[in-house]
Amino acid sequence: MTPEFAPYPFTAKRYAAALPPLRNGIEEKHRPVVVVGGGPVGLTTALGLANHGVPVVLIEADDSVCTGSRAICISRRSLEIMERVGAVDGFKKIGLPWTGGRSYYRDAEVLHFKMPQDDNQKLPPMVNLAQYHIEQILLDRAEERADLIDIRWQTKVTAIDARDDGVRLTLSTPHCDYEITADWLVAADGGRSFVRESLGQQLQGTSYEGRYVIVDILLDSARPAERLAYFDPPCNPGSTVLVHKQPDNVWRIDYQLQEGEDPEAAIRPENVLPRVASLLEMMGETGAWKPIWITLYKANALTLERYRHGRVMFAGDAAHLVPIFGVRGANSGIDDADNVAWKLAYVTKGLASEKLLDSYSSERVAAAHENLSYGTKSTEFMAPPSFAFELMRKAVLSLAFKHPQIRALINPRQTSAITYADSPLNSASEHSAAFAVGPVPGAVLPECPLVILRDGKTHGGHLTDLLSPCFVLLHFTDGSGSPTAWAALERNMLATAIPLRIVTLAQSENCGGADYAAWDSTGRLFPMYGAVHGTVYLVRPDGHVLARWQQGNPGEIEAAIRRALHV
Amino acid sequence: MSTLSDSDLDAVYTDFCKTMTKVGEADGQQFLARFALLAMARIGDREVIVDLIAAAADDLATTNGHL
Ligand SMILES: Cc1cc2nc3c(=O)[nH]c(=O)nc-3n(C[C@H](O)[C@H](O)[C@H](O)COP(=O)(O)OP(=O)(O)OC[C@H]3O[C@@H](n4cnc5c(N)ncnc54)[C@H](O)[C@@H]3O)c2cc1C
Repeated sequence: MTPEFAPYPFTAKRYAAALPPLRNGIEEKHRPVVVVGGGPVGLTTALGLANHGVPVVLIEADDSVCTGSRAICISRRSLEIMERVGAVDGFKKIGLPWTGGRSYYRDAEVLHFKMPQDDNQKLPPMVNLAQYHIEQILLDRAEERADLIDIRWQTKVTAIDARDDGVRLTLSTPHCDYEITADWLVAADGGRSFVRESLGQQLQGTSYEGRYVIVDILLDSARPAERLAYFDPPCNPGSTVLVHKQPDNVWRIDYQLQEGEDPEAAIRPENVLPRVASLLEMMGETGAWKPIWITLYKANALTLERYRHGRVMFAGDAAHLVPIFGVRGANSGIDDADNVAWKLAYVTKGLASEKLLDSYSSERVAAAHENLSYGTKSTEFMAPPSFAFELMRKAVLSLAFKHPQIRALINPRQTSAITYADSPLNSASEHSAAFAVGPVPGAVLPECPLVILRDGKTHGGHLTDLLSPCFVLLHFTDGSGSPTAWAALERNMLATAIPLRIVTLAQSENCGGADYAAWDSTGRLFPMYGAVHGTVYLVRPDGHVLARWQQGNPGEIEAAIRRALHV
Repeated sequence: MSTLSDSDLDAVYTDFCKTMTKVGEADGQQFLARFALLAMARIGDREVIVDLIAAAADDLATTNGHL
């Protein structure tokens, strides 16, 4: 008897292929930027470019969002990026927020971990939602930006000619094949990237032998969303099992294949379903359930050495493959998108030299190495690669209950925002060194609630609400002094077409007459940033700090921006 | 009191596992025994070592199963 499978509780919209005006088989219009791949990374890149007013053509081979079991955990940092591209509402509406997890060894709880969360935060540390949700939310947002984002469904890149001054792609559609030319290409075409292969580039690193079976099931349960890990559970001795709740009563169950188990046989329903049943029984889940999807996963820790190859930028899985443990795959790809989008926008608009794009590669390659090192550690624990890791893991798990110092080794090292500590863009390090606290150049902004005053209206908000797709100057003040010097700087930058937004951050309600300001209503902002009257933080369009001064002056700020843009 | 931070513990743990992997399964026990002896000599406190021996043996009767 074949077991009954349920479909995912989601109906994907289908999109038709469309052809642009062609002349002799070539698209008439030459494009500044083409993005290949309509996964989370390609879509976020397109939205990021549109945010800066840059038109983009997005090429996608499929006719809809993805299906099957892929990314489910989206981090706070990714949500901040979604907020800036105008897509966060969907994530908040559909996603299940969560803050921690529990690990069990046999029947004892050996770790209860919490991700950073306090009442300074605007967004949860993590939300769970299926990758088809993620993509549909991004897509719906992209359709709202149809003035700038032109999506070509059912269109596959089949050849690429990458030159020093641009790229030419051959595209295949159900109607006909045609060519498109562009100044820049973002390759976000996933783990099996056609663009990567065509350019003769290879991912380097480690592929792990240990395999996991990934099962999505439909189960109605009121159990809260958290990460559950069972090591050597009574229901399935010797195995390691992970459980995650997703929206719409979908549950993700991952378990490790036993040594010597045949992968083909392991994913057959008759072998999977009894294991799921005994797991649910152990968890005390008595409700009816049905399988939705079964697949096999093998961890990879791989990256390209460089993400810029002339006119081609690699992003997301096309650039690196990160193990699923620690949930850094899609999250790191979304970071890539956020990074490459503003830099490409500045270059195509003529506001920056193309050297700026080299920093995309160096910053994101460094980030990938950090992600891979954490991802590797998580993988070594979740799927021990040798007898030694296996033996030591057993020692850790069996000692953790009585010896709390050892529990940290079980922590899944969930994804967190990455600091570009060695970025070539960072400026004024000697001034930064004078701070005892606060985000260093290259770091993202720690969140803090405050009261925002804009155009005569006040409302409660958070520090990250003050960011916009341009350089932002956070100017801390006690309300005395006049904002005229800063207004002159703003005008100067505007004259060079490099927009700069200056936001006054006041210690009290007295904002010194600034028309865009916020005040530190909780009294936590100034100490968190090590700020005094006159302190300045200069923030990049992607929300990373570029430089900071305890006492800033307009000349140094302008110089830091010009230095970063190489103009 | 331990001065080992979580990330220090993480790093030495991984180093330990990798070294034991290189030593190989056949000599794994010998590697652990030697490490234990060196640790005893370095700890240099009889009472502490006696405690650690007891803690290491604790529950092993029940953890002897699979995994
Ligand atoms: C089981 C599993 C669980 C995971 N869980 C998580 C998690 O919880 N959190 C997390 O952050 N990550 C997770 N990941 C990783 C995550 O799914 C990927 O990192 C993410 O999908 C990468 O996005 P991407 O846009 O780079 O590539 P993809 O999502 O692979 O998108 C690439 C797109 O390019 C298109 N394409 C490919 N070739 C061509 C071509 N020649 N022409 C035109 N289009 C083309 C494809 O159709 C596809 O739509 C998980 C992965 C798996 C397998």
